[in-house]
This record gives sequence, C-alpha cells and structure tokens, in this order.
Amino acid sequence: MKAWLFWYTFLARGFLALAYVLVAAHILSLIVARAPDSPRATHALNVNDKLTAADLQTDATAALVDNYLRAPVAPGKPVTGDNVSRTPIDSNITPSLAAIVTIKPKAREQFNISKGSKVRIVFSDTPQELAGVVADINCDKQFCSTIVGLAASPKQTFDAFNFSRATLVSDEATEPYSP
Amino acid sequence: MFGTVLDKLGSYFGQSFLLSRCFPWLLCLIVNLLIASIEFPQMRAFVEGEYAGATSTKAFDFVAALIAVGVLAYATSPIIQAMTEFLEGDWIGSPLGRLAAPFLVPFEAARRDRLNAEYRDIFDRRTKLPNTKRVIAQLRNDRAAGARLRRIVDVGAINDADSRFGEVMRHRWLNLEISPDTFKAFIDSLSRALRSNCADIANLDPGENAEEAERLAEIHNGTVEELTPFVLDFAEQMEFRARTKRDRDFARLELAPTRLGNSAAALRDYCDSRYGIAFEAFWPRFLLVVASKDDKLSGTIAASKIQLDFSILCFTLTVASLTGWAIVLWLWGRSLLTAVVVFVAGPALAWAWLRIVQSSYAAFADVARSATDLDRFELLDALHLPLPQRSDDEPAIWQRFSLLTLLSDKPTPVTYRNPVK
Repeated sequence: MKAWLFWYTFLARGFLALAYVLVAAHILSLIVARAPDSPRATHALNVNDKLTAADLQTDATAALVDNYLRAPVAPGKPVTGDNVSRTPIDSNITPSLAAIVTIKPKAREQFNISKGSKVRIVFSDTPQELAGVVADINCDKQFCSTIVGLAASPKQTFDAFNFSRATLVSDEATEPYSP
Repeated sequence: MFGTVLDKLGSYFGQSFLLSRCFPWLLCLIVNLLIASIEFPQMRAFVEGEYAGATSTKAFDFVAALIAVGVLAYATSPIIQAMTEFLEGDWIGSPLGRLAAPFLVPFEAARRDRLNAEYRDIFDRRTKLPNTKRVIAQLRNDRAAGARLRRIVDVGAINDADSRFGEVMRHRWLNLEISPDTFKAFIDSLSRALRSNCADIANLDPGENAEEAERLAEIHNGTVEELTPFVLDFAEQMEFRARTKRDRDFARLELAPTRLGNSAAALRDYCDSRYGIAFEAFWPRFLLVVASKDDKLSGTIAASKIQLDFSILCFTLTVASLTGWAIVLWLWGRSLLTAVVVFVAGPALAWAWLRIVQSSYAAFADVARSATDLDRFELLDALHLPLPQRSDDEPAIWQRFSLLTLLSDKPTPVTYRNPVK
C-alpha cells in the first residue's frame, strides 16, 4: 500500500512536470512562429497597389523608426536596437575655442594626424605656435580640413589670413615637414 | 557605506519593512525590467533613454520609482503571512487540500521514514560497540598476561594487529565512522597479539626482539588513549546528530504535506513535549514580552524573521513573475531568449528560493526554540502567574494558560502573584 501510494505520487508529480514541459513547448512554438514578424501595412492598401518599402512595416522596423543612429551603418548591414537612441546623440566635439586649419594629406600621413592627436599650429608669418587637439578631420584627395580645439587662448590676435597660411605638426613628430 | 544608508533609511521606515518587504519588490522590479528589455525593444529604448537622461530627470524618476515600490510593498505585506501559511500546508483541511494531499504527503512520509531508519541504523551500530572502559580493561589484562611470557612468541599476531590498526586509524584521521565489526575484529586481533607477546621492553628476556615489543606497545597505547574513546564518542555524536535532525525536521505525530509545514510542526512539538507549551498561544505574547525586556534576544528573533520573510516574498514574487511572463509570452512573445529565461532559468531560481525559504525557516525555528528555552518564564512573570518550582510542575501551568487564552476554558482558578516581584 505504502509503495503503491508513493509511486502514485511520483507518477502524479511526473505528470505535472510533463504538463509543464508541454505548455513551455507550446509557447516556444508560438514564439518561433511569430518571429520573424509578418510585415503590416503602414496605411490603407487597395487591390492592384504596387507595394513599396514605405507601405510595409514590421515590429522590428517600428521599434527603430524615429530613433537616432548611434554609429554609421554600411549598406546591407543590420540596424539593431543597440545602435539607436531615442534622443539625438551628443556632438563628439566638446565645447572649446577652435581653429580650422587646412593641411595636405601627405602632411597628415607624415605626422599621423587623426582625431584626438595632439598637434601644434605653426604659422608662416609669425613665430608663435598654438597647441591643441584635433577635434575632427575631413579629407578629400587634395586637402584635409582639421578642426583643432585650442589648449589655451592665443596671446596675440589671429585672423583667417593667418590660418590660411598655417599648417599642423604633431607634438610627437621629430622630422620637419617637407612639402 | 551600505550599512550607514540602511541604518538611516531604517530609522525612517523600519529595517524590517525595508529588508523583508521593499528589497524583494525592488529586486523583482529590476529583474522584470531586464526581462522586458530583452522581450520588447520599446522597453529597452525606454530604459536606455532613462539611463542617458539628465541627472535631475533620473533622480526624480528614481525617487518616484522608490516611492512606488514602498507603497507596493506596504500594500502587499499580508501576502507574506498568507504565503507562509500556504507553504506550511495549512490548506490541507480544505476540499482542494484533501485532493492535493496525496501528491505531497507520501514524499514527506518517505523522508520521515528515511530519517527514522538512519537514526535506528546509527543507534544499532552504536549499541553494538563494546564499552570503552571494558575494552581498555580487557587490553590491560591481555598485556599483563603477555608480559608474563617475557618474550615475543607470535610476530604474525603483531603484524595482523598492526595492519588492522593502520586501517582503523586511517578512519580516525579522516574522521570517518568505524563500524562495530571492524572495531571488534581489531580489538580481538590486538588482544591476541598482547596475550601471545610481551609488550613491555623492561620485562623482556635478554636477546628478545625489543623492536617488536615496542611496536606492540605503541599499538596498544594508541588504541587505549586515542582510538577507543574516539570510536564510541564519534558514534554517540552521530547518533545525537541523527536524532536532532529527525526532531528538527519532523514532529512526533503530526505530518504536514510540505517540508516547511513539518519544520513548523517540529517547533510546536518541541515546545509541547519539553514544557507543555501550546505554541500558538505562547509565541505572539512571548514576542511582546521579549521586545520589552530583552533587546538582544528580540533583535535576534527579528533578524531571523526578516531573513525568513525576505526569502518567502522573493519566492512568491519569483513564482508570480514567472506565471505572468508565461502568459505574456503565450500572447505576445517573440524572443527565444526571454522564453529560455522564463522556462529554464526561472524554475531553477524559484527552486533555489524555496530551498532558501526552508533553510531560513529551520534557522528561525532554532532561534525560536532557544528563545523559548531561555526566556519563557518572562511570559509567566508578565502574566503574573506563579513560576514552577520543578520541571514537572511546568506543563500544568502552561496548559491552564493555553486553555484560558485559546479556548476560554477555566478548569481550575489560577492564583496570580501580586504584586509582581
């Protein structure tokens, strides 16, 4: 009697465990069927409408629309939820007194200047130099425009003409620039 | 740092409320928020937005969330009592309970039988061990008999005793039980070696092997001084532990459908069998008396109750969250990761919480037993009842008190002590 009762209990518990596994499996199958989610119409669609991408929306795209990208995405690469933000991303250039200096790509290569590099602005018509950090750099085949955040206020007045004749040298560089 | 913050908050809200009511809810909300962030991208974006928001906004939202948790915790406080009663198996008398009982009670009955069998087995083994004093006396007589031979007659007997001695000493070093059969076989072997050889170098005839005599003497001394007392002491300790475990886990008669229920029954049984105290009548009044008279004991009881309530609420919220998430996943679920968390990690977590609840209850019951042992007379004192002169007077006093408070039954008038002290 005792053994029978024990096995009855054991089987009953096993039945409950099996029921749990079946329910879990059913819910898992529902989840698998739902993903990827079927696209929904963004607006009313009629017979013979030629569908465009703008007509369709999925939960995945709906979750991304109206958000702001955190980092650039190459064509064909996925846009994930981790890469978007509800608010615009803060500028990566911190507030500072800055100067824009144009240099040649060759000079950039020689001094290995990139965003964050410590540089000095060297003028052709005055011996004073300005130290700073490259906040941004934008190159084409001929020139590189660099925004240099200045470490301190200049002690003399400079104008655009001075900067048009200035170049950059890296603080780490030892060899002089030879155009 | 955490302790200071806790003390400060505790002074406003009460440490018990913070630890046993608020923290489980806080933990539950954080975990549910994380699961929601996995399942719903909108929720993830919301959390990220909150995290990246301005400090003032974050601080405001955080304070608002804490207030919400506090209100929720206060409103749902009675859940703990209800859940404790549920886990103790108080539903067993209801029609549904009678239906569920066959699924639960046999396992507890089997566990009780197993503990009883373990105890009986250890008890039997202990009773089979020879008496320590008798063994020592027998070996002393054997050695004296061997000393009269004045020579080494049977080296084989010494080797046999030495080999068995090494085996039983290995058990002793590893703190393992030595079975009665092994011990008896060793004692017989040593007895034979002592009777057939002289173990006292001073009594040896010239030319006899003194090394063998010394070896035999070392075995004899080690047996008398270390091994024999250890064997019986260890067996008695094991018997005591097995009995204590059985008495801690189960009452003598009552059998509840759950482990927690049996721990509670064992606590009630302890008070009843030792002092004749009806726990239900005694404990609530005892807590009030202890709180006013003994801060340290009251603090210890409160700490173990906080631990118990914390684990019970955590278990309850885990089960409730898992049920809720199972329904959400059934209706709207899309993430397999969430499903794995809910259906695999969730039950494992709930099981872990249940074990913690059981351990916490056992710890609480230990504290309750000790508190009853130490301070039960404080309640008699507070009730102006006479203190018992002898231990066998005590049950009658507690019985009259229980009949009066629980059943309003007044069998014999009680004479109060006035004024108290």
